[in-house]
Amino acid sequence: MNMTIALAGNPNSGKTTLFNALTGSNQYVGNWPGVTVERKEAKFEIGDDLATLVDLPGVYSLSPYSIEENITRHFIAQHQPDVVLNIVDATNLERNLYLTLQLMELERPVVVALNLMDELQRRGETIDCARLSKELGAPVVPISAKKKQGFDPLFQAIYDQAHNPTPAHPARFYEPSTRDALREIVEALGGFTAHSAFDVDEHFTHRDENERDDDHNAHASHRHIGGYDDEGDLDYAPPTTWVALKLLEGDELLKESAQLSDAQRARIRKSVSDYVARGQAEHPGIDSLTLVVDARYRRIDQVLKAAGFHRREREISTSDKIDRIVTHRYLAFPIFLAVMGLMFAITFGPVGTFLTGLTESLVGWIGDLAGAGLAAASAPEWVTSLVLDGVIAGVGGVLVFLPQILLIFLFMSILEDSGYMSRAAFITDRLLRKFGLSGRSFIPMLMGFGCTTTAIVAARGVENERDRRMTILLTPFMSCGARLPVYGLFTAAFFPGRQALVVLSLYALGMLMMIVCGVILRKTAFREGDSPFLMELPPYRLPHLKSVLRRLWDRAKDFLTRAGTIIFAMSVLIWFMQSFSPTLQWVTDSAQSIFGRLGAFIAPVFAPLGFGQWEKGVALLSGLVAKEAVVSTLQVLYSVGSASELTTAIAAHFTPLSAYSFLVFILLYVPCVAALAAARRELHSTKYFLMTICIQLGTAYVVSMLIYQIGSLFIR
Amino acid sequence: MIATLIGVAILTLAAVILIRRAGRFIRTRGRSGCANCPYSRGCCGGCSGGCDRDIANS
Repeated sequence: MNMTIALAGNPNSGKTTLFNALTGSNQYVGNWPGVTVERKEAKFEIGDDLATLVDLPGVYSLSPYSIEENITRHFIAQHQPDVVLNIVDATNLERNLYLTLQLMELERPVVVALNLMDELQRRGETIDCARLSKELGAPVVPISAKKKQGFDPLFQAIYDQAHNPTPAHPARFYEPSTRDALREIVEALGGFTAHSAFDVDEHFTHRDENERDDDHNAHASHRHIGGYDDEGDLDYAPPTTWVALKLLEGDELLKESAQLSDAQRARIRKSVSDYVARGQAEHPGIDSLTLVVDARYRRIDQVLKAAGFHRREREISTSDKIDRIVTHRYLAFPIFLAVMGLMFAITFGPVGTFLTGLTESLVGWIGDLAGAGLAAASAPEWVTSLVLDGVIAGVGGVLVFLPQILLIFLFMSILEDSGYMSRAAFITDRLLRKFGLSGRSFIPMLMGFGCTTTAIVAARGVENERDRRMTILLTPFMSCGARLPVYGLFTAAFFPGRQALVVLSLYALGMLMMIVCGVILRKTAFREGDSPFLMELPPYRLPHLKSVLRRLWDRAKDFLTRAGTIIFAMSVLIWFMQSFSPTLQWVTDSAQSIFGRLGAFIAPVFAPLGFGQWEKGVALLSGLVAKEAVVSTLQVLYSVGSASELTTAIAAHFTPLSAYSFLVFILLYVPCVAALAAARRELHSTKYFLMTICIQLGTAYVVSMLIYQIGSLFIR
Repeated sequence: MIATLIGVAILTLAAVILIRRAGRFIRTRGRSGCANCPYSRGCCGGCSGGCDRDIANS
């Protein structure tokens, strides 16, 4: 039998560890169609069966508010996996079981993998898994995902559930008022077998991406169609009781999309208002959603009590002790800067420089080999120039920075996996709030340290429209990973021994400009009120070396592929445009080339910034395609073969002040075309899109100019 | 002769890459721009049928 298993659980419950442990490296990684969230699936064998394990996003509940939650509930309701494997953190039972109940409400067979049992025992807490299983109505298997313990009974439970499913109906155990309201709504929908009597059409219907109206608000449509486009025909409708629960909660998505008659809607409205009236008799002002949530938590209490769960009086954990320092009112930000500084010191200091030197030697050797081969073959001048000054110079100029890029990502992975990045978001939230900005926006902005495009799309998670737009407008100020080769090149040429400090200053400047522009926008175009921000600080954990290394390897492969494709093609194009005149004659003087003529037009614009030569303007243009292309462009335009020769050429064509001004411009001007396209899609407004471009170009120009002009008064 | 052929091949390959990437970029409204991007690893805005990563992995 082929079976599909959906893996669901809270973030930080060990889901990824379990997924990797079950499937090894046999994974397919892609995207959930139409959205930003990564989709992983892999196959493995359980007995004679072949199981496809689909990793659903980590969620705390199945509300309609975020794309991750919509993906999870949509997949389970519509694709009806054979088993839902719910990983539960045993050290956080109440919170994790909330999702468990909601998963069970979708009426698919559930297996609960109770993870971190060893930590639970270390705390002196106990739970009877067999009784928990009986109370929940689903098998509960204690495991340790990290140590790969408990997998045999887990597989057995999955196999049994797949072949002899016993879906539970937790709503049957909710308190009477909730059960009565549900019964009334189910009757209004047409009964338990009412799938054909109502049609939750908009919510779950396949919609072709290309059919969407360009002006249609993508954010609203993502909520409206349940979060994303699905890939195929959908055979199943969601369970009636689940729909009834969602209508009782006041789920806006379901309310809008369920195709019901006026009479049905009236009956449902009455049932909900009677339910609320009953609840308000005890708790004045309560709403239906809170009542349903409360019903679930009461059920969780009953279940845990019956399962003999004993919780010890909470001691201060190691994570709490570390947080007392790391999130301290006055120490937090200096510690954050110190951590970032250390990261840059190692990346751009002796370690990074040594590794870059090795790569440079390799590229140089390849260049020498190619040169000798071409000379031996009596190659025409243009071919020699194309290969050495175009391809090897251009691609090699970017490749040498691979070690430093990987070092940065190594540190960021460690910071993320250890739990420190959440603290960084928390610390920055405190700072941002002083300036009227939302900390909720900082999480996508933090992603901007890796990639601006990712960060812009992640802004979909910001529910407040105003905050979302501001996040998209401001995120590009966070220096993305693709700019690192440019920083590496210039800091090596002009600021040896102080590279880390200079790079840190650029990151800090980016954040400062983000705050300044944010404050200005807050007082002008985006004046509305504040939005609350809730986030979890997971306990500190030692990063899993294997997953960190695997991710690094994936990045290295991607980088090499990117270098071999778009960077290669760009280098050849740049070589062509600086080697041939507009009449396609071979030129030896680059100023007469296509690029030279083009650059001559734009060069004067940059004169007040200290880099008014055509090569620099053209390099900035190439940065629109990929920021690393600035390095390969300069390498090709200055006709140098190696990174060290480029460093020498840069030193001859810039001063330290104009170099810093150039770096600031690179930092602040528009991101790559992929990010611009993402911004246009996400903003769904030409006005705000143009505003983004104007803000970024304007800020880059003004700040660069100020730095150069004011700096010129003091430095010659 | 061989060297000239190599030169022509490089130019042709670069042109093909640029044209295909540009075409894909326009068709996917920019989503394919993140193909093989090591910085975004894992997401780039949704790629229904148009992302190089999905195509490469399928």
